[in-house]
Amino acid sequence: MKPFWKDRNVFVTGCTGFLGRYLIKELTKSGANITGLIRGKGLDSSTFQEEFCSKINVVHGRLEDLSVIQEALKKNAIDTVFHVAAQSIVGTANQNPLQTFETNIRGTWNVLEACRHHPVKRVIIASSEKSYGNHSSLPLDESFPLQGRYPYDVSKSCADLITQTYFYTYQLPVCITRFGNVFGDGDLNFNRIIPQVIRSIIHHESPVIKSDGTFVRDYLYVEDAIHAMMLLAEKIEELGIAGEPFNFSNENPLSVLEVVTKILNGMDSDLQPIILNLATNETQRQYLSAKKARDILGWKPIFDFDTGLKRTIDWYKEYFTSLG
Amino acid sequence: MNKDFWKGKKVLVTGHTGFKGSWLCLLLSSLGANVTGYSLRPPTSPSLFELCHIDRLVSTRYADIRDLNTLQAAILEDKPEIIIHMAAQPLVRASYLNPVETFEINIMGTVHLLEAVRNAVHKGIPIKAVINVTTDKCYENKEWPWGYRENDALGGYDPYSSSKACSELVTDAYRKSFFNIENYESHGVVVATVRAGNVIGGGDWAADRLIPDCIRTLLKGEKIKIRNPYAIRPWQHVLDPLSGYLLLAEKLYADGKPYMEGWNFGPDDDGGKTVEWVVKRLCAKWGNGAAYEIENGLHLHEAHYLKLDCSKAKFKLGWHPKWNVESAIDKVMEWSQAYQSNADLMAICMKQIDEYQNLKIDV
Repeated sequence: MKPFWKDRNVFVTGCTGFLGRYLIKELTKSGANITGLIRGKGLDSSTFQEEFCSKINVVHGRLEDLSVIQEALKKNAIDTVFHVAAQSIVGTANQNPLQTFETNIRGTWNVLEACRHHPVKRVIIASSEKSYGNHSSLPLDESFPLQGRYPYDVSKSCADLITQTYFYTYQLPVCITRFGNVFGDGDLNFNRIIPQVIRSIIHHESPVIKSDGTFVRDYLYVEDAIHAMMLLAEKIEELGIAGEPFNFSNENPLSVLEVVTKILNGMDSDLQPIILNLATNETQRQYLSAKKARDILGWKPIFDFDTGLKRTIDWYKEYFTSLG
Repeated sequence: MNKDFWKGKKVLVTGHTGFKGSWLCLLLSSLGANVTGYSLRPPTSPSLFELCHIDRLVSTRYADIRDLNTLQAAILEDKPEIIIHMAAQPLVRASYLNPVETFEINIMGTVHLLEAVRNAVHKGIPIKAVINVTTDKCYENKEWPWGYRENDALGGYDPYSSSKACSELVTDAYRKSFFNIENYESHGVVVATVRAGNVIGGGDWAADRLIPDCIRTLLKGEKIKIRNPYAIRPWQHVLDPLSGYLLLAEKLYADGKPYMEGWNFGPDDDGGKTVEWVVKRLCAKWGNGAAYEIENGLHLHEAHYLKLDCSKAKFKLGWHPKWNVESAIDKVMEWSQAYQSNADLMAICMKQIDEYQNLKIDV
């Protein structure tokens, strides 16, 4: 248990999402008092929801509603905020840009605005490698311009820029995390490549690759991502790094085809991937340098891709067995 | 600007009750365009919009850009071929005080406009060109002495600048995803953004701006007080960037592909003059014993100001600023003296527009 978090009043947005649930698990272990924002009814699995909600103060409401967030901060005397809620599916953003911008851009300024009027000590905003948009020079470091070109990337570029504005204009003690693709236990979003492929293989179906399989990305195991966010929150004041973005990555970019092959091998499957070769609104190659996080925070990932993947596969096997 | 092109063209201007929007309405009307407007009521009183009775020229809908349903209905009803989006919260200082409102108007307002265009196109409204008016402040300020180019990084420290950088990014997202040139046959829309700085011209009553502040003082017969005499700012007459926007609209309409991107429209390099230089000229032009004084305090020489590199607009559009800073100030003074003597202000504006259009410049 980290003494830093003991009895600290922490607010988490998106606490029913993949990152949010994992973050709450880790914060609970560290002894924090957690207040979580849950959109609508929240989780689909009701037994899980009951157990989950018993550990935290639940606030029902939408990110687009500033007053709900303000009220939550005030009522629970919050001193640390993690904003991890987002509409995080690229395809949904292409279908419904308005709702994605509402959630990801307005949602972020609402969190920041609520924090500006409340004496919070530290705010962590989860941005994304996607906020950089397309660059020909790689790996991406924090000095690269944020120039998303498609709805999802742009929603992240804008949220990230607005966050920096709240530091420069109002000296809000905020830091930004930029992750590549985060994977691991508990990701129930089967639009994402790793959960999708594992599910296919469990169902004895050939995994389908929508692109041509050559897209290169960063993959970070969820526990490393969560520890990175917590470490950053712990260090904002001590290191005087408010206003700064940090990339977190295991600096081992992989192509989609490599990832799929690793999963097939990891699950001892002899299925062959089906490559659809469809055009998509996505950047061809994208990966991060984590040099700044290594140098300034002394951060390094604990899990390499293969170890993280093994744990992830085990989790899904158990999950699908439990579903019957 | 090509009068034959604009004659009868259906143009929707958002934010047309503002200072710049009003001048745009007058310019478009002088070219024979069929203009409709979507805006809140004029932001100042008095206003150029009311003084020139622009509501008689332009079919006006008083509504909020944050109201998507009303905006959508307006576009479906007006069926514009060209849209120039100017509705914005334009003041840096106001953005400090109310960042959320600035983000709502400047970011989500742009989203609403583009969303409404997308839906209107699906319903068969033949919108051809959309121009989103942002600002020179959309560039990430690198504190360097060179002019910013259209492909420099976007961003901003204050909420206003940041909101406009986001408006640019949002425009790009719609352009890449829904108005992509590869599917031009299916949607027929081209979208561009334009970036200019503060402009001057007759009829500006905005707060916290040097020339409007000076004119108000002169009208009261008082002495002008200046705080930052050595501050260098770029000065540009409003008709210069507006003529650039219309030139761009003509190109977008005829053959959009090479033009669907960001465009700078700033003054030439000699447009940078100190505040004291400008005020001295204002006083000389005003006559009547007009005078100024420099307020006490520490007056630092400022190293540089944000400049635009407008090579692209000059090279690819053949656009050039026509009025230098001296002429621009003279036009403002001419207008202000007409206002003081209760002359026909619409006539003064139209006279200045004629002079502008008829002026031939050597490039």
